[in-house]
Amino acid sequence: MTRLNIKPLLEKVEKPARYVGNEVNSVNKPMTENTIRFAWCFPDLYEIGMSHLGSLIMYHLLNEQENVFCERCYAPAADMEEAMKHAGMPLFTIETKSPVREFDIVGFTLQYELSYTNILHMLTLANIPLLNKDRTENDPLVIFGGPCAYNPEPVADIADLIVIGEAEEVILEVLNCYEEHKSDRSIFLQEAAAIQGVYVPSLYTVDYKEDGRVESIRPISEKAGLTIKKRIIKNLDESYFPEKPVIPFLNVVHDRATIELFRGCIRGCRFCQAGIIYRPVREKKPETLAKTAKNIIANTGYEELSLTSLSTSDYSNLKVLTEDLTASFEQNRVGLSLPSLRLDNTTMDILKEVQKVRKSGLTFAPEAGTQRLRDVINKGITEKDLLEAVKNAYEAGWNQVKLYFMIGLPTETMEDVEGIFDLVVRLEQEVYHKRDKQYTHPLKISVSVSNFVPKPFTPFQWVPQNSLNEFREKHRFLKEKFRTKKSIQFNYHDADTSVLEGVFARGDRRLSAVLLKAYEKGCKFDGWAEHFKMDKWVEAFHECGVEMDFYTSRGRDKNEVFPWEHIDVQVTKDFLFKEYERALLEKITPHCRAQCNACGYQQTGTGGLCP
Amino acid sequence: MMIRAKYTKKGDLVYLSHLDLVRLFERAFRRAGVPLAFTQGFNPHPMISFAAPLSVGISSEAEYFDVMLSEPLSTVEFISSMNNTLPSDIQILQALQLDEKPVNALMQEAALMVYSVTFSLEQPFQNNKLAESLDFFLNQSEMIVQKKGKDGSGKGKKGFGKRKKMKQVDILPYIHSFVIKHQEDDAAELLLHIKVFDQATIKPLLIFNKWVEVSDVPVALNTVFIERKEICKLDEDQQYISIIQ
Repeated sequence: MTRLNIKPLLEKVEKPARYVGNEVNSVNKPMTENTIRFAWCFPDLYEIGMSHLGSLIMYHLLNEQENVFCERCYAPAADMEEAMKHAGMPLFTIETKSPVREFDIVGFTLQYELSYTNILHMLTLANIPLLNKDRTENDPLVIFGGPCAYNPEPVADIADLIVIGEAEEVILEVLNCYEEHKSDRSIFLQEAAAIQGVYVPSLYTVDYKEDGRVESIRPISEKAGLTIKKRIIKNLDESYFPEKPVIPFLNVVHDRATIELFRGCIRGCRFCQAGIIYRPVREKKPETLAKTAKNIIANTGYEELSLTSLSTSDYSNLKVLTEDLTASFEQNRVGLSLPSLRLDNTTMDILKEVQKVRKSGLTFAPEAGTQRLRDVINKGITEKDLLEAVKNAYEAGWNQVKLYFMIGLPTETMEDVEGIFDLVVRLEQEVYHKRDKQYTHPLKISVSVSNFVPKPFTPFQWVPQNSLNEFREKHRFLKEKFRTKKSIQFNYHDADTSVLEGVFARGDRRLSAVLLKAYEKGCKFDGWAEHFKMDKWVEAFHECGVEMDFYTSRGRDKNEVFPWEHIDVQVTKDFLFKEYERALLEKITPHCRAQCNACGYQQTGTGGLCP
Repeated sequence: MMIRAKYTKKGDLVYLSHLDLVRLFERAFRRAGVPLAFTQGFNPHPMISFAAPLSVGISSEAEYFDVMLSEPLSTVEFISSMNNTLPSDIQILQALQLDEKPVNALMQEAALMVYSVTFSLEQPFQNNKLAESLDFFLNQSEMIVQKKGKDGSGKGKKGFGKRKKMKQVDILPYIHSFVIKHQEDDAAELLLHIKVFDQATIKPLLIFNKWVEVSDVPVALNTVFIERKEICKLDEDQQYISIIQ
């Protein structure tokens, strides 16, 4: 085993603590010849990677296994990359400072489409061939997973194996299979392909129609199934959750303890991919959560605990849980934070209790400016709810409100865009009206507008995305409007990156070549505005003969074969299309607890119970 | 109850910034079950004050903080419960119960910093070269270096707009002493005592580098290792004593 001496490099870089490892609760263990060495690679900086709950779960879960040692690796920042190149040093893991190339398995998590070039970047720094066809038994096995893996095609030529769905169980099955067949990669891949939730892209071939659309996606091995069914943890309450998580040295993006209340979401917002792919809703018991939370705080000393989920106010026992936790943590000044809230009255009451002392800003996500458009996207929230919530929050002492909107949603007109401005102004007036009477502190409102990106496995997977110019025109329009309202802070997301995200979200296998070309031209850290180079991307698409518009602004037929057609998320295409039709009719669909909408999950007979 | 503690910062943990270190301690206190006292108000935080932040990359055998506890705790118990949960490169060496809150914050008490600087040479020394070179250095009328000022643009600016202005400083008044502790053919250890005036001081590397620049001692720059050995205060007789005495 090689241990690189990174010390001389650390003197030269801005944040050396990113690379030293050995944080409290990090794992270092003795290895034998039989130890499977797993490099958990996050295609971004340490501060981003260490904020990701899924990585934390997988890191500790893998290290619980006696025969596995999982180490972490992050993309080096530009200064470190420079120092590494200068010293001729390859990409290394932060636990033992071993070259990533020496590992048996190199795993990347796909959290964001714009991090794909960083995967190529890290493989290059590690001296690992980028394409699966170029790798041999002497190279590590390269595997992917994570939410973006539900449409694995844009990275299909890169990965040896892709995990579809929740990885906690399937990863251990993959490792067992690896242990048995590690001497022959081709046999291993064939055997692994038979595991539910495992996709081996090299065992499938894609045929295209003359116009470029997908004709079919076919397995070319007997072991590979026609479809790859996602994996889920059936009993989340008993699933593994780390109670002694690594505590990062640096102030990372989410620098706090986290517990996961449930997976899935009852809501069914039509733009939301997570709301579909993580189905069905599975809650943990409040007792389990309270016990986990207390152990984590005892083992980490964190001053804040976040209760996460896709929609935290939908947790059935939120009141019981928060009361229990507030009581136990009050003396030690451990605060609770509740992200992803819907601000109804019950939730407001809980929030007032929880944040008695420390009142951080509140975030609301109306998503659209008019009731019509909110009905289209099935965001079951009315203007009255919103006014009520902001008023309540203001009266309870909050002085900062953040509002999230999207532009470019299907059926959107300029009236809907203007509706964003009008709604915000009405909210502000509501509070100012209050303020005259009894309150004096100002309310700081900030508005963030992002650009809608249609995602696979949503009712909007058929719709054209707005073009660059459409996005820009809407930005200009809103900017002009908000210029007259100096009291409101207005931000919007860059249109270029949203369009590129749109390409890769619904992209096919031909995009692997574009990725390689763009990386060759110097594209990396695309999610960082200061590194993003749209001109290079445009060149790369052009040189590969691939049209961006084909993936973004093209409308799709009901029966179009999608590049992700072979991935089965256990929600039917029929259901998604019906939801799309209801969207066009501006019809709301009730949430899963109010009524089963037959999305397909229960019919699959896997026995999971929806809420 | 107030405790003053002396601790180390070594190994890889020299790369932690001061803020990272503060956060690390706050969490260690909670893990160790040390009963912290918190400030009142909307955003309560533990009452800890640290002595002179160490530059990133510099090792230390003598760092200090004062911490206010809400309940009495023996210093022995304090040390053992903290050391159990702290990383091995950060360990409490000594703890002292202060009878009352000190009049001055720890930062204001610090009057002298003691550093050791070890290095190797690119070629062996000649005779008294090292001692002569230090003498020459200290006997100059002034020694000007470029130093990063505090916030060059005054208060109120935040984020990327904040730019530190360089200013020129004569370092000699800050040097209390700069002597040879140990010398071999091709390596040496120097002791550097740097004064603190009104919480302002000079980084040891800045002084050392200036000496390297003006002397003709062939220091191999990649071998330089600086370690803080002690922080001193002035006693009633104007003598320097350890800040924990």
